[in-house]
Amino acid sequence: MTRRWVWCAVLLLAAAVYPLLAPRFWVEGVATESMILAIIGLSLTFLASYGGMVSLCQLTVAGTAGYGFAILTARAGLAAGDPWLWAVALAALLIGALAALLIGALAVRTTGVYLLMLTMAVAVGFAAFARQNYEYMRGFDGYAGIVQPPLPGGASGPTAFYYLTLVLLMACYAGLTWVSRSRFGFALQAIRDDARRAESLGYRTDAHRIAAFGLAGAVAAVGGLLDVWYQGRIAPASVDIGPTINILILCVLGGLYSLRGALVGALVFKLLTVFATDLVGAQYINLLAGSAFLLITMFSTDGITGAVRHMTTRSSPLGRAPPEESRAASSTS
Amino acid sequence: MNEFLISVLNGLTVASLYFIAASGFALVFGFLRVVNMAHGAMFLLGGYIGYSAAHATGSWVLGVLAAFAGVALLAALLQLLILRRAREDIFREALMTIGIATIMADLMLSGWGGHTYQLEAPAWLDGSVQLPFIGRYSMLRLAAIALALGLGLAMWWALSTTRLGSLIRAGVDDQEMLGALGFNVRRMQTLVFACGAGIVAASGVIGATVLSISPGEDARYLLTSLIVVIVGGMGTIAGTALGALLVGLAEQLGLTYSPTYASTYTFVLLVMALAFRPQGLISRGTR
Repeated sequence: MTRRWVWCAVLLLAAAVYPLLAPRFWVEGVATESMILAIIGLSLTFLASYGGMVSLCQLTVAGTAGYGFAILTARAGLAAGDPWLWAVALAALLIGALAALLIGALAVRTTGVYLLMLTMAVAVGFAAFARQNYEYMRGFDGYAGIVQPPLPGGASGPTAFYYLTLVLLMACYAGLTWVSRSRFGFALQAIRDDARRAESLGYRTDAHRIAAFGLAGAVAAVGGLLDVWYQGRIAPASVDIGPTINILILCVLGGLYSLRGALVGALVFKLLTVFATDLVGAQYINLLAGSAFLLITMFSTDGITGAVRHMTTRSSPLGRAPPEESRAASSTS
Repeated sequence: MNEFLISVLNGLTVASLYFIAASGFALVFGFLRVVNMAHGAMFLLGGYIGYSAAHATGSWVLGVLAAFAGVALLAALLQLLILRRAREDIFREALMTIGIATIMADLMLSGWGGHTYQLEAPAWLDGSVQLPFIGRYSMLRLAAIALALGLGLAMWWALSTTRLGSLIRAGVDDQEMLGALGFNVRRMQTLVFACGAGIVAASGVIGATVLSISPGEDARYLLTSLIVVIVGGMGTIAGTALGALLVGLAEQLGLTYSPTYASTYTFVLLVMALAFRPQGLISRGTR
């Protein structure tokens, strides 16, 4: 246990001094971007590992928060530097969590692979809606020139944004880890393992699952907000099927059934896409990512973290079972 | 009134397309329990192959056959080499098809580019006919409706009366038993997967003729097929037909009367179906 804390401290120290040493592209284009992906990915690995629910809606939830921020900022006519932008950010966070609760209420009517189908439909449908709707979503073009809320002490620039992202990523990771060890987290795992038994013990299974969706949604919304602040724009292409599947791909690369799989996966995915542009050309990035994803699903579902754990401990990961259809069948029949 | 009738006819046209495409999806799902997320990509590939073959040979029918054969062959290979590795873990199979779809989308983009393709219909389907109350309506679109009706009836007939049909129904209900009776279930799985993919590919050619195809249509047809089978019910022809009808009508009526919210109407359908009948409107009872 102490060794783990030492590792954590070393990693944190490295992350803290990193922007002082690395060139700007490596701070912004690699580290910050992969941390934003990691936050959205965390919400998926949380749902997958503790809830047994693989949702393809996490980018959609991030997108509702991003769109929410863009729409509210535009309607209120707020300019850069206005501290009210933080209130808007909070409102957008709530919009994202609310959207996640609604999606969750719909999704828990199904399990396993049906849940995957349903959330895929919701994700693609949201992108279609964003493309068609001009009243709020501004259609194909979406929103550009989205401003960031002012950081404390008037800090700005890529390094300040890197630290903001790092702090929020750590907060999300620590928060989800804490939740997974709380009463709620254990109840969620009990429901994942045997919904019927948990129900007969008096747990309200649907309510727990919906709450897990909402919680993961809040985390995804944090990622969505950081993304629009970083990019400065949001459009239907940001929430379309390609980026939606990229979130799944990076989580499977890192390990879908452990929280930190999202961290490892996001970094590996980002490095892969950055280097692939030089290696095979920008137009074949999806080909490469898709092939890596396919290879991993052919051999295991634990991804990189699973392989590492397997090599170092040789013990079976406790309580990290993938959702099985038998379980799904027993809970629906 | 006229506008309403035309939207209903348009709704029936897209419903026919959705039905043909979704029936391939439903067939594969019913027999193999594989949720084929590469469904949209296979639709698009079928359309592209059909377009290229029809242009090379000058025959629309040959285009449909080439698309069917090409994609069926590809699907058989994918099933044998990749999907079987999941050992019937249907969740992993679904993930695998997502990977396959990603790869296919990239390859198709580099093969056929980002253009929009529209295939010319055979000459005997060109032109329009005079209909009461509506005026002139495209012959081609009526033909698509007739084709979907014909295909639906043919599939219903084949599944309920022929030997192969009863084998498939037996496989949907209990594959272990079917295997114990001495039938080669694994070979049947490959065959059904290939046939399902072939039907999807053929519907891609029809889609390229009646409407048009371009990158992005794969996501659209995947979405509608998912909604069609969730709303209508998995693994029944009647359910697929009803789901396609509802989704097609909701989409086209929505496009006519409130274009910027058209896509929400299909979602209202989806939400209502899940809220009141999560097993689908017409289901086989047990699942």
